[in-house]
Amino acid sequence: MKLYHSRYILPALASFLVMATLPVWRGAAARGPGFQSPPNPQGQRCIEPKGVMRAGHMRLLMRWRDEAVREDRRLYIASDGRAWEKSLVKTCLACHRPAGAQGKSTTAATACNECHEYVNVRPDCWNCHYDSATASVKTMAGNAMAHAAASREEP
Amino acid sequence: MEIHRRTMLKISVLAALGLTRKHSLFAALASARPSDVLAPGAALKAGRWAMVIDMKKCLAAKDCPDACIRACHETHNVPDLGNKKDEVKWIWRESAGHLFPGQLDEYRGAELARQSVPALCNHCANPPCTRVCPTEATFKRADGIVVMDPHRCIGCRFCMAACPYGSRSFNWKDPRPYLRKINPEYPTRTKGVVEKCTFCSERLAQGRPPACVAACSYGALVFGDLKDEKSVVVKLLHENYSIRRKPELGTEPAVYYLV
Repeated sequence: MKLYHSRYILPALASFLVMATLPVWRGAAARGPGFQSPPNPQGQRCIEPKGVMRAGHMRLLMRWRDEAVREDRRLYIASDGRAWEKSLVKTCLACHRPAGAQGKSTTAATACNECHEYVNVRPDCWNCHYDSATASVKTMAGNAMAHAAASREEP
Repeated sequence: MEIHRRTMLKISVLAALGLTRKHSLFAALASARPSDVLAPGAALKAGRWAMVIDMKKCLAAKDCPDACIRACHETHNVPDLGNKKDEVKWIWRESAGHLFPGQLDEYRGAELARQSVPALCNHCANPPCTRVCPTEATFKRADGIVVMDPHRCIGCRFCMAACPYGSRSFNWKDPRPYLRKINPEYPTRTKGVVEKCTFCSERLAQGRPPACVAACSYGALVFGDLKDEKSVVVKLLHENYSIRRKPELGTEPAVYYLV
C-alpha cells in the first residue's frame, strides 16, 4: 500500500492530533486543585466503602434527608452493621474535618467545595447546615454589622 | 450457535451491570437493615403529641425571663431581625385577648385579655397549612406533629396565608447574620423558606422533651401524649377547664390553655 502525498498528510495529521487534544494537555499542565479526597485526619473508615461513597454520597445524603426529616427514622445501619446517626454535620463532619487551620480551607464545607468546584457542582447544603469552624467568626462579624446597620436605619 | 450483534450487546450490558452491582450504593443500601430511631428505646413516641399551657402558673410568674422563648430560639437558630415586618418566631408572647378572640368575657376575661402568654404552632389535627402546601414541604406526622421540610419549601407562603394562628414566619433575608450564637447541631434556614415550631421533633428523637418545656422553671408548660390515658396532659385536661385558640375553625389545636 502506498500513501500518496505523505509529505503533506502526515504532518497535517500530526498537527490535527495535537490541536484536537490540546485541551487535555492544557488541563494537565494547569496546576489546579484537581481531584482531592475529602479530609479525614483521624483516618477512620467511612460508613460505606470508598467507591460507594465517592460515587453515591449525594444519593445516600438525600436518602438520609428524606428518612430523617419525613419519616423520623434517624439511625442508619451501614452495610457492615455499624450504626450511624443520619446527620451531615454530626456524622459526616465528625471525621471529614481538616486537621489544623492551615490556609483558607479550614472548614469541612470548603474542603467539600474543593472537589465540588473541580467537578463544577454547587450543592447548597451549607446555606442551612452549619459548619462551625470559621463560619462562627463570620457570623459574629456579620451580626455586629447587621446591628449597626439596623440602628443606623432606625430614625 | 451464532451470536448476533444485538445479543452480544445485551450480554455485555448485563455483565457490566452484574459487575458494578456488587460494589454499588444500591447493593449497600439493599443490605442495610431497616432503622427506626436514634437509640432504640430512647426516642419519645406518642399517639398524639400535645402541649398544655397553664396560664395561671404562667401569669403568676411575674419576673419570668421568657426562658421558653429564649431556649427555643437558641436551640433552633431563630434569628432576631429587630423589626416586626421581618420577624421570625417559633414561640412568642401574645396577649390573651389576641389569642382568644370572642372567648373572653368583658369582666374577669377583660383582665386576662390584657396579659400575655406564650403562643406557638398549634399542631392542629386538621392543619390548613399542610392542605395548601403545593410541595408537601409541610405535613402532619402520624404522631400529630406538623413539621416543616425546608429542603422542599419553595417559599410560596400559601401556608402562611392558610394558618389562622400566625404561627409561620418567612425568611425574607439570610438569617445567619442576625444570629448571636449558632447551635451547630441544628441547621439554620436560608433566605426564601418558611419556618415554624416543630414540637422539637429532633429532641424527641433523642428522648428529650421540647426545649421550651425543659426551660420553663415554673412548670407552666406540660408536654405529653393525648392518646395515653395516664399521661400528665390528659390528667390536667380532665381536672381543669381548658380553652384552645379559635376552636370555631375546626382545626383542633393540640395546644391547650388552662384558664
